[in-house]
Amino acid sequence: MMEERSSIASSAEYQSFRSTVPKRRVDVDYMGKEYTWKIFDYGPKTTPAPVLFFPPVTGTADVYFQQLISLTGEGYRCISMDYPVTWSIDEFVGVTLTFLQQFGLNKVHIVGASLGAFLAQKLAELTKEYRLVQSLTLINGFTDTAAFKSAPSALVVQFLPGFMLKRMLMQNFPQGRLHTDVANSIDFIVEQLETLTQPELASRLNLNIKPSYVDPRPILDQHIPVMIVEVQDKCAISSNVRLEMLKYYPDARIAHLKHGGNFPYLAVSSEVDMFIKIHLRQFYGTPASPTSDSELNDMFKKQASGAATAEASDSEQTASHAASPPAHKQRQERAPADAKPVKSRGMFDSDDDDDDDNEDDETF
Amino acid sequence: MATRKKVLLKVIILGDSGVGKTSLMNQYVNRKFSNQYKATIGADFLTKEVTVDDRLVTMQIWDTAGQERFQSLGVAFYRGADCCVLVFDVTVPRSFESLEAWRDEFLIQASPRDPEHFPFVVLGNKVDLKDNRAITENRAKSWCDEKGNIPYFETSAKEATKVETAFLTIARAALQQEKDEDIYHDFKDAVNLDDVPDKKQDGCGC
Repeated sequence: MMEERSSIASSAEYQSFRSTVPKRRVDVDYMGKEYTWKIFDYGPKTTPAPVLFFPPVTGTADVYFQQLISLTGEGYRCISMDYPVTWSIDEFVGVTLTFLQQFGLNKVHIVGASLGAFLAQKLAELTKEYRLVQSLTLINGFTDTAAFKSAPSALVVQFLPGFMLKRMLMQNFPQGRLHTDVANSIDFIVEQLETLTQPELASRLNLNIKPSYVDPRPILDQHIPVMIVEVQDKCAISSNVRLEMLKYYPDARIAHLKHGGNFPYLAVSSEVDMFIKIHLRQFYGTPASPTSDSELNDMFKKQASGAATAEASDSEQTASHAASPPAHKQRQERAPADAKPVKSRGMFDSDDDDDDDNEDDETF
Repeated sequence: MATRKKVLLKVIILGDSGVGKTSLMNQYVNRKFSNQYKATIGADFLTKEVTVDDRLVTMQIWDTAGQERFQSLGVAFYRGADCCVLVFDVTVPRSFESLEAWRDEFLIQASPRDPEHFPFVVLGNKVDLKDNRAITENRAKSWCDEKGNIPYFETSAKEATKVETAFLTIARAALQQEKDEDIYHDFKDAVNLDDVPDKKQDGCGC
């Protein structure tokens, strides 16, 4: 389509990512209907709890490629996805559970941005009995679709042609002076937006604006650690919406970024990677570890079991490098992409169990 | 664009293992002290909202670990730092001698635009352990003067001595640095797409 590609799309990192990691189609049968996911499944399959990446309305699985590269370098398994076409939260949750069951996954961490952050919360809220969601990283997220009050009605969106939907979305992008990296992230997103079909876009927009909100209680009851990633510069999320989110999760870790715009995982990716690693480190060495790196897991297990031993070994190490601060090693361990999948444990035998839990979702 | 912009100050604490970096941060942010030592793995951060000269700012304070295995957080960790706090233990001479190396490490990793004027603050911690003191205030001060008049504070995270005062100085220095950076970026690192004032938000998300 577009001959001239954005600087991110033509970067060596992206090119090499796309040539090493295939985008797979996964068909899921749910309630007699077929749904298609397009995913990058990257990193060792033996990882206890992979990280799922939920994109924003305008994004594809590709928008997280930098996180995938960075986190798999630390032994993570990451699954970034293009959503299947669904028309309600219940349908989305049902299809997602079927998808995860098909992959034999019963513990996941989720990183979600804007709509992705909303859906991540809904999934955590509605799967309380499975203890599916171990942690949430919410980037420029919201808790109530009322955040988008000036949007057209969900009903209208379904019937608008693709080009109009795209135009509607692009109107949200900031104008005025922008950091170069923020501008580049928008260019990339615009390209990605071009690849989405009308039903895909209409479905996402519909989920984004159809009246629905998160009930935080089931999430808090499960003690799911939440990290809220916030940018200090302009983004589509208003400050009221941000404050609302902070109220929902009083114990959340707040990761402030000086700038990053709507798509910080593209604009200031290495900072976002770092925050995700810091947030997920609390799971290293536990049955919900996002990494299969046994050295890392052991180190944290030791730390948890006794501080005294850590003290001794730590001060020793410091003595040796303090005078000449350490060179920063770039870890390049890539696990083979074809490691054996974990066996399904049949966690989600009844796919639509979450139905009795929904006090939120409006049906048209 | 002008004055009402939200301010985030990124502060990085460096120093040998065991000098009390985590304790100082905890004392300042949570007003808590624990005698039990637990090595920090990798890095961690705490945030605190403070008012500095009538301005509400968010301080993001980063605590590092000595362990090399986790230094892989790398450049992102240092990027955008507004102030670097160097900590030593007044009872451990080696930790004082390491200050130079930590300062160099910071300047290499963060590569601030103007390294000569980048704000550092030095804290000599554990002054409550009077009997074991090995580094005098004068010795510490003269090192700081030599390095371009770095502000120096003698603190005790345990007894909360001078912690608040030190961090206020840190916040001021960081705020000044942030302002300078901001002015620079306004001219340099910006792409002017279209000079339209902020449009209505809450469209339909993105």
